[in-house]
Amino acid sequence: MSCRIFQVILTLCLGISVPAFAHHSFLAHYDEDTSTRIEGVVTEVWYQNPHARVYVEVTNNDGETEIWETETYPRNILIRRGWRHDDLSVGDDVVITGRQARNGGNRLQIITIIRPSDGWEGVGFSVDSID
Amino acid sequence: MCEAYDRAPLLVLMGLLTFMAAVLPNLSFAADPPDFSGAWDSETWSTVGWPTEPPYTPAGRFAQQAYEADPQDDPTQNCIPPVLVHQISAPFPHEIIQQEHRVTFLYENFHQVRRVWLDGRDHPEDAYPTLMGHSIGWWEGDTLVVDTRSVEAGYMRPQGLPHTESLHLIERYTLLDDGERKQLVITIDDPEYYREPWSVTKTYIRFNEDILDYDCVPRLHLPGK
Repeated sequence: MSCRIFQVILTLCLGISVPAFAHHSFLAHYDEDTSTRIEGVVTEVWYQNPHARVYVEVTNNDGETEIWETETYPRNILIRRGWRHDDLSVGDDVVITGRQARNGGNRLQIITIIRPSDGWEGVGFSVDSID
Repeated sequence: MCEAYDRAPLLVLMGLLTFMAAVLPNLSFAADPPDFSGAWDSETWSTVGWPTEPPYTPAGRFAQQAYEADPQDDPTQNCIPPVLVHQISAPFPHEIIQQEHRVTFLYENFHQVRRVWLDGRDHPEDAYPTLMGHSIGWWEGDTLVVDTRSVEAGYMRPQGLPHTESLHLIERYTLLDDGERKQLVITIDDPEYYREPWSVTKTYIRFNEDILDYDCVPRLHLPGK
């Protein structure tokens, strides 16, 4: 199954004061005013502190494959929220939405992560979170 | 002689009553302090209650702006343990071991340990600054007051809020809701970076889960490697 990528830049009306959070470490890296959606195949699950990451191979609009790095909460928080270390495996098809890196790189701060084959949902940052 | 001997038990009894009358009221003030022992989790995470515009001095504002210009400075993202206030602001549980002479904080985040001395000692005059600093404490009624100095210079939150080694930190812990929650009022006094002391209030809830191990593994951004 070929993977597709949809990049949709949306202005999010979060109802928060942007200047108040403009210097957050995460928001220094990721653009809180964007929402990017990718579909792809998991190539690595980095289930660690200080932040867990999932690497995904995505086929872009030119038909080329590229690796995306997606980032979510620390492992300890994932454990407490029910994302076990072996829930997600290399080879799984996933759909991820998140905030893209400000430098335009293939990096996302995860907001949602879903495995369509069985409906499993991982733990992403809440949309109004600045952590 | 015989009369004096006869009155001796009475005199002893009167003396004992006088002693008890003098001492017992004071003993009542020496009742056991509130019990903070056990695990606690922050109710407010690190995103609530911290000022975005504290009363910076020019030097403090410069340090904050320098941090904003280079956000990679957040040490925890590279698995470097945080300074004390950064630890307190982090969204992880901690455990307290309470003894008469010492209260020990065991923070899950980065396995940091902090000892608060209640044995009447003062801060050492020649303490070398460390991440946790040197803490002494005492009871004011039902409030545990913790006084900390000699903290290494650093940033209090992932968003910044710098402090120098001149930081003087006062924490006031009180139990709420029959001991099921606790409140922390933390006062930051660092005249080099802030024109006046300022405070933040946090609340915690009893945590009925285990404190977890915390391995930290730095990862360079090398997708696919």
